[in-house]
Amino acid sequence: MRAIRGVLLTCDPAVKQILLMMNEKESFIIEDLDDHHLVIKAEHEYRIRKELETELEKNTYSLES
Amino acid sequence: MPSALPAESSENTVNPHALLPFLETQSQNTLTRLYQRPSSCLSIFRLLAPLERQIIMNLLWLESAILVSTMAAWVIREGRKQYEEAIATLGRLHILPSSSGKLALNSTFKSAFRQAITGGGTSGSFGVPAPPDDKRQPVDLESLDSFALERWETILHYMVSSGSGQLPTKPSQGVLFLLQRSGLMANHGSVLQITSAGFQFLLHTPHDQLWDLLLQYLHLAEERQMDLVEVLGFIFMLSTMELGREYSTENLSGTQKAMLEDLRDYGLIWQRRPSSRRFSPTRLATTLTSSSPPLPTSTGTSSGPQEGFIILETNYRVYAYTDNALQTAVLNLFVSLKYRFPNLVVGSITRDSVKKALMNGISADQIISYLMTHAHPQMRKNNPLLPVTVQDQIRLWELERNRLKSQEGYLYTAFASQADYDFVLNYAKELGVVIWENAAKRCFFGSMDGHASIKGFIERRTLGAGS
Amino acid sequence: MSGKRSAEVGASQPAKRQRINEESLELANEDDVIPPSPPDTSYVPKSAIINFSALTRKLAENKRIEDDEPMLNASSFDIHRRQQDKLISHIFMDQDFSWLHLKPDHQSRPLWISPEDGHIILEAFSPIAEQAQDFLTAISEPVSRPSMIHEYKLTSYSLYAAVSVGLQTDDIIEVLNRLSKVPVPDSIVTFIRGCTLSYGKVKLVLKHNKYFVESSHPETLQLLLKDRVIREARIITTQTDNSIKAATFTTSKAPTRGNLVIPGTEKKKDEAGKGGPQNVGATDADLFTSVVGVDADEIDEDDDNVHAFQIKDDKIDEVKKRCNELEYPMLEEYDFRNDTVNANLDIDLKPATVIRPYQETSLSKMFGNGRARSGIIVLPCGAGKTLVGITAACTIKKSCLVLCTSSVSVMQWKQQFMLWSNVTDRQIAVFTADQKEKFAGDSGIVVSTYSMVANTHNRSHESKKMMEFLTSREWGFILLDEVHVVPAAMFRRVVTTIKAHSKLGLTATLVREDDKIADLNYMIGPKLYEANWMDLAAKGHIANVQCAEVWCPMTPEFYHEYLKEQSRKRMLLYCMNPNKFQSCQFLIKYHEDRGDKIIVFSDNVFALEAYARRLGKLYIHGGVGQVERMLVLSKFQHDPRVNTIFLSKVGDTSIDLPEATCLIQISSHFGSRRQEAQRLGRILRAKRRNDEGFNAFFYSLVSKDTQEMFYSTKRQQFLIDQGYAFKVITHLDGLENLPDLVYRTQDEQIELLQSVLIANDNDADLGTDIRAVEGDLAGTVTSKDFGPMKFPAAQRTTGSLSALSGGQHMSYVEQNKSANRGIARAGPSAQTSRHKLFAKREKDKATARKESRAGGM
Repeated sequence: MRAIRGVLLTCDPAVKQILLMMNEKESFIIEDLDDHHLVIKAEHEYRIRKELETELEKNTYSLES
Repeated sequence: MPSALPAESSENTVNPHALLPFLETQSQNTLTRLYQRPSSCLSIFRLLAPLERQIIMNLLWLESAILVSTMAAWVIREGRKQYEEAIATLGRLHILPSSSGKLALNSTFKSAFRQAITGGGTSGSFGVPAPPDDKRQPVDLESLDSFALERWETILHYMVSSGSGQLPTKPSQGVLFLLQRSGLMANHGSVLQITSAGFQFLLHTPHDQLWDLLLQYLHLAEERQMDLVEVLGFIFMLSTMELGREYSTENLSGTQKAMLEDLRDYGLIWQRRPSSRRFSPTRLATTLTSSSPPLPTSTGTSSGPQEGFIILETNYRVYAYTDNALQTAVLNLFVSLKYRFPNLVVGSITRDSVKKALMNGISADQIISYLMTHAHPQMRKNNPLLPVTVQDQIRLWELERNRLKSQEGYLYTAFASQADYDFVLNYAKELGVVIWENAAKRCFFGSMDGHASIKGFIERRTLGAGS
Repeated sequence: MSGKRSAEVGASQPAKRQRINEESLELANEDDVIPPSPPDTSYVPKSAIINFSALTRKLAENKRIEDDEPMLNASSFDIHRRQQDKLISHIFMDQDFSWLHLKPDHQSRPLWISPEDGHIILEAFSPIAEQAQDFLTAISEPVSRPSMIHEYKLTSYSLYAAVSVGLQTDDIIEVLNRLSKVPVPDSIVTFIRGCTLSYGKVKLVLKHNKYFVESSHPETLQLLLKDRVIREARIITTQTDNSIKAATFTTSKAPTRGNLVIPGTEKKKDEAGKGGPQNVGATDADLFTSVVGVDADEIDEDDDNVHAFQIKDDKIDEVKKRCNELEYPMLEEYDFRNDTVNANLDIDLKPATVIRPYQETSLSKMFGNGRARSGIIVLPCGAGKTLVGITAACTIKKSCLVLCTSSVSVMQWKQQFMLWSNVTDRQIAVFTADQKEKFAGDSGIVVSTYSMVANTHNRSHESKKMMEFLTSREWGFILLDEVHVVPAAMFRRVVTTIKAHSKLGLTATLVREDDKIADLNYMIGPKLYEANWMDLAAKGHIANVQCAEVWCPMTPEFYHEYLKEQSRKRMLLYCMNPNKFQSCQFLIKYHEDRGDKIIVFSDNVFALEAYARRLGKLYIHGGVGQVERMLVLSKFQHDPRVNTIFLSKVGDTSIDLPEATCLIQISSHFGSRRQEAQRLGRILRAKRRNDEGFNAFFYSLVSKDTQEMFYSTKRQQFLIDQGYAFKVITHLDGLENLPDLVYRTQDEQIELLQSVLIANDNDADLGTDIRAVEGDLAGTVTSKDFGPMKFPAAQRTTGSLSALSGGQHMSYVEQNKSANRGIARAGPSAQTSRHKLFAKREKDKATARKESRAGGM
């Protein structure tokens, strides 16, 4: 039996795909559990949230007014 | 299709007044002392729900107790649940002490309340008017109103402007302390900054805001070991006073005299000088227990739900009929403002403006409910009140923020056997710490706080197996 | 006790409030145009509630009047207010106009004006909103017109337009001031004066096939002649004319207004008891003039004599532009009734033809002073622009040239002319790549395309002769269709080669951010009228539409590829997203069951074919032959079994299908607001629009978390400003339970993905099926040529799609046959060479099929 310390991320499949892509650049995923869950190294969480937001932000249009 | 708020059904969904739960936590002794004051009884009566009031009125003039079954015979089957809840509330307030098989009002409450209605008695619980002053005219209503407004808006404006780089007028130290104590503001380094609870507070109705603060004041009074009966009694006394009249401070207790300063700071009473022996309650005070619509502390064209000032269009534009700086500042919490005319403020609800509000701890529901509460009469022709598309979008923006949830903990994996897995998993489940599990992969994720116990459990088991 | 409470209730407010009301009544009486608001009785407080705004105002007033409240520092409240104001003022930057002084009776006036940018905010619920809207549409650009509050903006163009329809500077300012809650700010007055004083002083007039710059102010002409560009364009006439007065300018009598009747409008009034809509129109006009406070008759009062100089034909464009820059824009007006030189064209609307009130309003802007003003009329798709154009032609009754964007439209225009007017076949001719006709007689109508007229290269002999015919004569009227899509250079050529007395541009979507507005303004003229979409919908002229954006999450596999892909292929991935496929299938089923007729739009041809084939529906794109195309359209219109068709960009304009009641967009042109509006226009004229409670539906299927989301929001902005609301649908109830739901399994989805991955990069492009041929405008509109075209990419992938399906997907193969082939046996064969990679699978599949058949027997 092993117990690995980490952060469980719960997300939708699309977000998970983005995280997987990010993981290819810099690895942080400990375990890919299923479509909605990942376990990652705790120290990467902040960075990952930032990058994810940037990625998702690309798809939104805001009025310039 | 998504959205649709739960329909508001009649008045039985109305929440009990915020003060009642507080009163219910008080001892029977405290409450009985409070009930000695006719003004307190009348005020509490006003705060109760209609059914509770009706029960009290039914019992008020009875000299002897009535059988529970007799009373219950009045209740139709559909109303039973409501009736029982009302009886329970009155019981917790010790107005209707629960006794076997019979119902009778708390005798202290009964006699004081009778006095409140019929007049008479000399307790002075409704305040003692000050003798006419020959030298000066009594203060007029407009001055009182502007005083109350100024004090109250200063507090709210101080909150809303904190952290904006602006330098609003500071309320008194006492008020600042209360804001901090109540968690509406918090110290960030040396400066007070509004908290997410504070932002939410700003969106409440003035009546609720006032009572929120007074409740905090009551908690503080408890801690300071002030006599709660004196404090509450004074607040209730104020709520039954006549607007525009001057009252004498002579008959006030020591505790109550000490409260004068705080109440001045909140704008509830006005005094010519701090040392003055007379005081006048403001409209903030005299409407505290009024059943009329929420107290209009902030100005603008609104004074309650029937006279809103905000128009929200399907193109996300917000048009607010207001000339009030405070209302404008509150709108600025979630609207991107663009134009300001003497009586109109124009802006848009944008993704960014809503995101900013969400980051401040304001929820989509609070934004929507604020817009609904203050919807302009023109909007009332719409059904639903607000454009559904805009409501949906505000909620969707909120959902957007919660796409990634994280919980720290441990992944338990690589169990030697299915039995091992089941055994540990069951234990973890009993502890209620399992967040995710997968039997096929034979692993589960447990929260941080369960780890020590699980670790211990496994060690004990390994030891047990070894021995 | 009771005494106490009654005192509380009484307060002393009602009396004072009364006083305020009286004041405002007095003031309101100054203007009899705007009725004072009735005293609001509900305003009087019933209990101890105070109305704080009234209170604040009262307080402020009291401070001003008397200061005899020594007990409370009288101004402390004011100071408090000012402090608070300062705290929020920064939010608005330079847009804080709280210092403006509200008029005492502001409640009965419906608008505010921003001193900074000329932005106007109108209460559309005001009792006089309708007149105000009429006025504002005439002098400003509508920015947004949802239900309660509208916004407009004063621009130099809009004011130019106002002048050209006969409004004068002082009237504009005065009416604006009457309607405004705040006095019109000085900055705005200055702006209006600056923009309007010089407008309308100069006219461009065509006489005897020569262009003249005309003005009743000789000094203005002198001023213009100081400009080098204009001076050089001038022709010093040697030829004399009996009206020549001095050596400088020609002088003649100014035209006067008579009793012009726009056809299609007046005759209905004669019919007893049936004057409904027309009367409304007339009242509107009356109100408008009463608001404006000036009758158009007065305008020409001082126009006794006019002066003119001639300019070179090829310079008129430059001169017009230059005049605009000098802020002396030239009006173009045509006094057609007094034109004795050009032969009349004896046409009229058929007796049965009746035009709608807003069509009449738009035309009244054009013919307001008895002459034909040049300009642009903006009406939503489906609101009958063509009839407006035809009515204008029937009013002018001179030779008329109609230019449109494609030869398909040419035929439609001709057919519409025949339908609505009594024009005879010999009076109307078409000039396209295939047909070069001239009308018989002295006058007539020619319908052609922009490119046919503007194109200078490779003209055939016939074309040359036709062009000589067009350029050698003087046209009374030139009708310009879909002006928003025509490039400026092409316009310039048209305008300089064709001599026309008056021009009318028609369009549905003059999207504001277009630079085009400036070009159109001096080449055609100002915008004469812009209809309010919501208003037309409310009155039943166009259909009510429910708009929705359906969010389709990307499947993990598709999204994975999407994230990896950086090229244009991304587009194909979000179009072909299996969840979008399913949503499309579900919506089609749902609406077919309701009895709707559905058009599915896809700019992407690859996706279009894939969807249509998989879902077994008919489709039309540029590669579909003319015959087949007609067959598909007619099936859709008449066959109760054909309720859904797929259209590529070819369907954006010019295909008129009033049967359609539901639109589904699966792929569109990036963030094009105009396309969104045009597509919506396809259902606005739904036949069933006047059925009780009828709603048309407009869905955009959008793949979540992709660029499509960005574009989708952007696309909607124009329509949202027109008052449309897009509902976001995140989940379609019952989709999972749809029998024979496509791409249900992961295997199927992966196969679909593979077909996308091997598709050519070009397949991701949009609108690839549209090729312009001679005479058509490239890339913008319906291409005439629907004959066989080369679509190597599409054909190859068709093959690969079916090749991809393994033996276990028998039904898939069957369904994937083009439904088109079922109806049009003439269609080109889809049999093509297949990708090597799939040759083997193909064979396996065939074997599997055989086996399964054998097993099934």
